[in-house]
Order: sequence, then C-alpha cells, then structure tokens
Amino acid sequence: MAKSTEQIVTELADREAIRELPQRYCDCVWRGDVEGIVNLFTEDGNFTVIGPNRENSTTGRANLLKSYTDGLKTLTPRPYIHNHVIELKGDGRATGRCYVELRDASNKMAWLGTGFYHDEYRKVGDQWKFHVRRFQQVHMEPRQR
Amino acid sequence: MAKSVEQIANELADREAIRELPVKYCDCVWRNDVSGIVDLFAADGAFITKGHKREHVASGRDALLKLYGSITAGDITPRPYIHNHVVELKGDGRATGRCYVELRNLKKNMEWAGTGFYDDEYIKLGGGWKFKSRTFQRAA
Repeated sequence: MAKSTEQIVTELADREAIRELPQRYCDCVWRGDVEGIVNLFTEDGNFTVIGPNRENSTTGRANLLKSYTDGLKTLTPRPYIHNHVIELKGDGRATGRCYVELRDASNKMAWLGTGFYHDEYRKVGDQWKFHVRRFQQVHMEPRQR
Repeated sequence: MAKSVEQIANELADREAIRELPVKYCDCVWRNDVSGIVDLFAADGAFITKGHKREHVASGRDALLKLYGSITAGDITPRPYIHNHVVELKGDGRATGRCYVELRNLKKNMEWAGTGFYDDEYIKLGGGWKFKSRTFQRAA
C-alpha cells in the first residue's frame, strides 16, 4: 500500500533527525563538549570501542560522562564523518552505519586513523538518540607525542 | 503541541536548503566560480577569517567579490571537503550552523593544506536561504 503524505513526511523527519546525530556527535567532540556528547545517548545508552586486541564497553549516561571525560583528556581526536546509511525499523527504532576519519589536534592535526560506527537509534519522546554506538577501529596510527 | 505535517515539511525543506549552502560553496570554490560563491551570501553578507593572530572581515558584495577573486592568487589554491554540518533553525527566517572543512592544495599536488570550521548564520530571503555571515576558524 502506498504511503500517505504524512507517513512520508514523518519518515523524512526521522531520517533527518537521525542523520544529524553523528554530525552533532562530531561537532561535540571537536568542541570538547562532553555533556553534549552524552546527551545524544539514551539514558541506558552504550558506547563500545572495538580494537584489534580488545573491546571496551560503557553503558549509562553517568558512565559515559566519565568515560568521555577521561578519554578526551588523553586523546584529542578531530573527527570527520562520512557515508551515513540509515534503516528505519519502525516503532521508534532504527539502525545505521557511518564511517569516520580522525585527526589529532595534539599532533598538528596529523591523520590519526579511521573506522566505522554501527549504530542503533531510539526515538525518546520526539527526539532520536543513540541507543548503541559500536566503534570498529580499522586503522589507527601509532600515537606520537 | 505537535507540529503539523505542513510545519514538518517546511522545516525539512529549510534544513535541506541550508545544508546545500556549504556544499554549493565548496563546489563553487572547486570550480573557481567567484560570482557563484558570492551569490550564496546575502547582499550585506560577511566572510570573516579568524587566524591565530589576526581577523579579517569582508562585508558586502563588492568586498566579497574582491576577496574571492583573489582566492587562487597565493601559495594555496584550496580544494575543500565539507563535513559534520549541524543546523539549528531559529525561526523567523533565521538559522545558525557549524561545519568542518578539510583543505587540499591544487598547487601542490593536492597535499593536505589544513582544517578548520565555519560558524555560519543563515537568513531566508526572497530567493531562498543565504549566508548572512561565515566565520572561518582555522584549526591547523
């Protein structure tokens, strides 16, 4: 059955709001706005970093706040987001994947690495949030200080 | 109060038009289309460059034409790539946004020439959305 205009407009609005999440995430990382980052997650949101040898997972806003605060004290990544694909799942759920390049503000903006995020999004009230972000590292340069 | 379908559609159209501005800007820079760049600004639009030590302001169509007309005169012929554009609609035909740019230099085999971000103000005029001001902050 063909979608109604209202359904189409609602889906477009959902896509637009979801598309903005990784962009706002990057904007917050650039500006060191840790609260802004964490507010993009649901209360029980999860962020997981998957490296070649280990996986580090953090759940819940209080833990995320600590994790991002600590993380951004030791690393100064400057991210650029690319290739964001979105799949609306209905019932306030969606998934997506987007790719990132990172530069290092502490090392003359040298290229730091790349990878991608597997995201799960949830609609909370009228706002879309990250429910899960799983960052898969693909290549990270050795850190130079 | 929930937004009507018409309100949502109008906001989406506004966002789409605003999102296109930095993309068209980069496209014009790549093609050395100086009048195309300046047409993206309001008649009294301004471009502000903030460096580590100084700030330069070009305001109004003539000043912008002069500024962008000399864009390839120096050591760098910039080839920009835009990223991470966030947009905030303020109502009443106004909006703000921020987007990040990487620059490569055509004069030097497209070597990486730096990065930074634009703090933008947008305004809706008869012909659509325009840059009211662009403030470029260099990061490296």
